[in-house]
Amino acid sequence: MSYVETMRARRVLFWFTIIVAGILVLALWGILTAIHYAIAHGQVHPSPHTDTANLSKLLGSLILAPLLVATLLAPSLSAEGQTVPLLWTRPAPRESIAWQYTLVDVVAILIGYAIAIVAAFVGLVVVEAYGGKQIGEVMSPMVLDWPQAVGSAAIVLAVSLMVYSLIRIISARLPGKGGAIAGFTWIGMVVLLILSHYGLPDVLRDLVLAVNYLNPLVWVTTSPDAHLVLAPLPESDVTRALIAAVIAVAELVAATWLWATREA
Amino acid sequence: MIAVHGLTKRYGGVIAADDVSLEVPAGSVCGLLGRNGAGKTTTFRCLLGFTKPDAGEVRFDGAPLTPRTFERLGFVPERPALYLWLTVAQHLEFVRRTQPRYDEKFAKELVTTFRLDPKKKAGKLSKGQQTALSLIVALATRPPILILDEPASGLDPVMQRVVLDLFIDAASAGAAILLSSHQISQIDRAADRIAIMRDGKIVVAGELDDLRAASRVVEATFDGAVPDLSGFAEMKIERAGTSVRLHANGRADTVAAQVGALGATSVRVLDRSLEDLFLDAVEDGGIHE
Repeated sequence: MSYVETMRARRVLFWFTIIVAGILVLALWGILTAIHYAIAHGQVHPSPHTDTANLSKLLGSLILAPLLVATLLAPSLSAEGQTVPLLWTRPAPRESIAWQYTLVDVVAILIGYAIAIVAAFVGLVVVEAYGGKQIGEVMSPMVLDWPQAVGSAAIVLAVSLMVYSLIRIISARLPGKGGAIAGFTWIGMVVLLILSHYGLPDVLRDLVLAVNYLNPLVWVTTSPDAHLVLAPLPESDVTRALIAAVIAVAELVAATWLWATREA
Repeated sequence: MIAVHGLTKRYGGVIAADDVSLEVPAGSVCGLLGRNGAGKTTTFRCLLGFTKPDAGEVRFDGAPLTPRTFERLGFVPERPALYLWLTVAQHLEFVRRTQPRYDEKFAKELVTTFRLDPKKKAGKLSKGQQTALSLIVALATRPPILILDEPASGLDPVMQRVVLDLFIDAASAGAAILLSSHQISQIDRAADRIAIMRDGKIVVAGELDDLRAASRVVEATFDGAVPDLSGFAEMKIERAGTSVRLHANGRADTVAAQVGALGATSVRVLDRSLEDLFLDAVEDGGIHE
């Protein structure tokens, strides 16, 4: 049953990889050109490293990659609007079909994240190798802060899963509209964040802050200045990731039920 | 066997299927006829579980519909439901992975019969080729139950004949087939029983030969004025000059003898075409106008 979704995910990952490779090439071209220019014009001024490069920061900064894959794959069941006569006449319960799709998509999100991590490391290695030859050490050695890195990766993946499940639940009963819903979901998430900063009337503000618990963007980071929800979220990335994942799974259960029981 | 009893489906105040009952035994092709909006597609959707009926019961080989039923049930929708971005071969792979009864040799034979390029994406196929692929997807498991909603639309006449032969072969092998089509000639060729729907109801149902026998027409020509036919007031009479057509139904032979006794110069008993049966059944909808 997962064959079609595997093919769909493969297609998404193919184009995603092309985009990542394109960004990598452009970034490398820009950085290496800058290094070359600096050397050619004698503008190289080695300075002591003041910043530290942490693995956790790198993993956190790549959040857009799995979010993009999640956004592209979340409408897959909604996209089955025209093909329901084919999909629903397979000898398998509809819930099972939906969960198989979800499993494939989650694996694809993980692969998308892994591709982005590999691309980032390739970029760093190339810059260090080329730049290092020319001007000595370019970057600070990376600090492998494993506990923080695990938390960072966990929150990235949990938030990606939240975006995926949010789009899925909204589009569950709207066959063929998943792509548009994915776009509007992003707009909605950003609007909710913005609204939480505005001086709305108390009731409305409380409502926005309550709804924001379902807004994946809120769970990315905790900021003492940002009062995005009614009560502060846990400081620990791992705890926040776990709660976000639980919300995402609950949404997926509801989305699966909505999709499986809709009329075609 | 497909058995439907008392199937009713309402959409708001509209009754799309009204107490629909029909049976399609194994080895039989049942043609489901009706004008657009008569309730055929709603009936199919209820049969397949795409929509929940308000009342009634559907059974396949005596058992209610479950996901496992689809191991033995093939469905061809009115509009081909295909993944336009997958190739013909990938559609077959999809069926192979999802259907335990998939017959690879037969599927490849069908691809050859319909002259499809396995490497071509479904989105690049013509409408007729998409219909053909939809048929292959349904038939590749040689299902003993087939539900076909306008299965030959878009096919050229040669392919239509091939498709009908496939259905007839499947029925000969014991399949129960429920076939909907607007092309009455297709039903006439393939079906051995029919059900005609009007306004959500089955208004005519039965074996085609029996229905034909029960609705025969006596055509009589008189030499001069047509005599008084008040003795046949209970039946529909069409007059054209010195000829009359009496819809004698099951009494055709008796009526022919009575009309002959009135001095008709020629009397013929005619079997009615399926088209006549259909038009009679739906004529309240104004199809004669």
